[in-house]
Amino acid sequence: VSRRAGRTLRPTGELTVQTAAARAAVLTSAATPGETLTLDLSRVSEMDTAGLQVLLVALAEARIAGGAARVVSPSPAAREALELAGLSRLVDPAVDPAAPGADS
Amino acid sequence: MSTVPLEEQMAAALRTFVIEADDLLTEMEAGLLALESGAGPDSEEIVNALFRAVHTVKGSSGLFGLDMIVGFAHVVENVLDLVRAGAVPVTPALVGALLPCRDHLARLLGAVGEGRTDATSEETAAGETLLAALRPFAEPAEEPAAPAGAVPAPRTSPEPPVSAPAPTGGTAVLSLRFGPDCLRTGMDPLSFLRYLATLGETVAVECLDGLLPGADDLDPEQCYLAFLVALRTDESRESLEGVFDFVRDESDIRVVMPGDPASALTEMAASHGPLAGTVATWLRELAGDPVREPVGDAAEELPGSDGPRETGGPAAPGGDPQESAPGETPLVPPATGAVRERAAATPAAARGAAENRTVRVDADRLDRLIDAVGELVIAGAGAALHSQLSGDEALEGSLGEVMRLVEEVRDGALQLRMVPIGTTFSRFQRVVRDVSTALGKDVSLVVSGGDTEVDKALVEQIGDPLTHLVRNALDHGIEPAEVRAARGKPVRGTLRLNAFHDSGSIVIEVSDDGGGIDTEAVLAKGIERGLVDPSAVPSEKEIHALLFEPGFSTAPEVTDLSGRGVGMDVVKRNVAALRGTVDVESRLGEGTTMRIRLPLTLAIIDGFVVGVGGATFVVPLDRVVECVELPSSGLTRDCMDLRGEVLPFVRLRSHFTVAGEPARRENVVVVEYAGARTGLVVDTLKGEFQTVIKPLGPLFAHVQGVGGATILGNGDVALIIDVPVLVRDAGRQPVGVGVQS
Repeated sequence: VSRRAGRTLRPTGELTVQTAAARAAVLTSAATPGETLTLDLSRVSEMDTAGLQVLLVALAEARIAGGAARVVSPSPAAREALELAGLSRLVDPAVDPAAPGADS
Repeated sequence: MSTVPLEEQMAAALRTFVIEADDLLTEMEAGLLALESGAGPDSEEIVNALFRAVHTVKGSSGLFGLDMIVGFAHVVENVLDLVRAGAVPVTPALVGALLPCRDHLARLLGAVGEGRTDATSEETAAGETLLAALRPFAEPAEEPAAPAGAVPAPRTSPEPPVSAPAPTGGTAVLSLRFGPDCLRTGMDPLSFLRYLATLGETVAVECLDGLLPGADDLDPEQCYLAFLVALRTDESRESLEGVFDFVRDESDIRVVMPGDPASALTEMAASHGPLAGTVATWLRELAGDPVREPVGDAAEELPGSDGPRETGGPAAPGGDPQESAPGETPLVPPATGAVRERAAATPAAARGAAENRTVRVDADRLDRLIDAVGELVIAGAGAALHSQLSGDEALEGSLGEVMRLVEEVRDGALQLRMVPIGTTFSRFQRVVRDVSTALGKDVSLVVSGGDTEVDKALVEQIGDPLTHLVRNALDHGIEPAEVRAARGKPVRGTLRLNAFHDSGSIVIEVSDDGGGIDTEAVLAKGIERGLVDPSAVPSEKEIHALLFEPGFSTAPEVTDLSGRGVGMDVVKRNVAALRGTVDVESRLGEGTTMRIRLPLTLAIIDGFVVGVGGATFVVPLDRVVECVELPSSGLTRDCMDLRGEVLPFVRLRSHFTVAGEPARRENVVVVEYAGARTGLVVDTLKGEFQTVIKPLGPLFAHVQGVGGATILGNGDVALIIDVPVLVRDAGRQPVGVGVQS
């Protein structure tokens, strides 16, 4: 699949029910057609089910918008949450976390 | 979007947990004591209840990350599991080891209630000591903890195998659909998954996101995800289901154990509605994976076993379990049968406490309701007064009906605050056990009248005085066994707790069949202590009253328990503060009965209304002895002559700094408190009035001699006199409330 590398979003801090509403607005509307949205979770300090939901909706919205999205570099907290939920496969393993184009 | 801070949600959830866990520990204590006293055929049910209690406490603690409780409870739970399996017999030694463990859990829980989640080093050490004491009972643990597939420990009980929560060693499948609001209430499904992972080996987890809406419709605080978990575990079905006790009501949690009929998995899939196909596919895949432990034949019964795996598709073809759910042939025990069996096996002990259809209501809310109803009564009385003055008979008639209903509502509201005193009584099983063991006496507790209802506030405050009386009876009342034997009494002493209603009061009796009160010894002691004039010839009642004097104790030796002479006077003071009385009935050699008499409720009193200038006061009627006119002459300072006796009095006008000149003829309300009579000088006597006590705000906290306020039928505020305080303060300086006349 050849798509242009798109924006990288790097949510920082909690990705939990407390911040979900604010995060959802940003993360779910960031996709651009034809581009691959990168969700870098390296700075997520805490993640719960609400955070997972926002993540899943963001990925789905990117696809619907005609683009793609990937999850990279999960922090230990984010990785644990994904593993608990059986969603480790969402993480793109072949990614350089310091990819260019990070703007968030 | 309004967001309740997570800390608050968690704090609320934690509070609920502490309350519920506390209830469970109370049940546990009752259960252990019942076992100790020989529960007979019920013992199996009680053991099951004990296990469930500890298990639930452990599970819920795990959710809140309360590791100090989880670790400790885990060991206790293991021992109870062995007892349940019949591998460890119920012995007094076992109960003796388990009771302090329960107390330790209660202490840890208390710490959590105070906001501490880590054990102190003392607590850790205490816990280790207790667990060491428990270790001998945990010895057979090696066997049942054997790896998957081991034969369960032999059961000595003739329990039908159908209800056996057999260790499985296989793979359990859980379907977890949490309520939409679980995130808002601080119940993160991931916490449950995290805890489940500690109960075994997670074989597979599937996150079902098929109900997740698009970004536009997303409520980020609502839970849309469901989870399927395959867990290889030795835990029983009950254990796994117990993990979710805390969210059971709003969630759909299903657990299928190996050996459950095929229909259980089909039902599980079907329960997911539009996602049933996805679930069925996942279950098939799970069963078909040769690396993983098969879920049993059950999975093969799933429709379309040969279908390809559909990921995320809401309706996999051929995956509709509704149209092809043939698996109705039960394999081993039908799951529904097991469920029913468990439901029926609810222990009698727990039934009373937990299975009542009750609603937990914040006491403050109840108080506000009663407060409002009280005002309604008052407003109604005002309306009735106006209607009488208007002379409109039709109005008067309908208002009469309204008032009747209002009073019914008031009685109903007050009823809400009433709780049976039995809960308080049952706490004494433990007190009696511990104290009599410490004293080396054999005493049985007989409780009667536990159904007698009493105001909740009273129940909370009567516990301490009652404990004192019980300890006192055990320590001083009931004789040592050899003395009893010598006196020809049964060696085992009996302590009775009894309660009953008597003309608007509740009476609580603590009786023992001990030696009774030696009035001679009490009198001698009283004289020795300078409490009684050596020449006096007091009545028996007066001698008994000496027992409640500060610093009085007749026990020849001071014991740790109650021989310090502090206590009985405190009992009397505490009871008096509740507007109650204590009296004693005793027969030498036969026993003693201490009788506490309390008003049924603290919220309503029968008052005697008096006027001073323009101000109105209410004196609690049960304090009023008589009313006399204030003599116009012969007053020496603040004393008068009442039929030959000196009666000190308090002028309410000057005490409360009521403005205006005294009436030409003043009256004296004679009140009695703690055996002493005092006069209250007022202008007018207005008669009796049943009234709802309204507490005064913190602004008036410093005002002495006023116990509350009430609103009269005409809308005036009247202060309720706190007789004990006023009598005590009689002779001191006026306090200056500044009541305007």
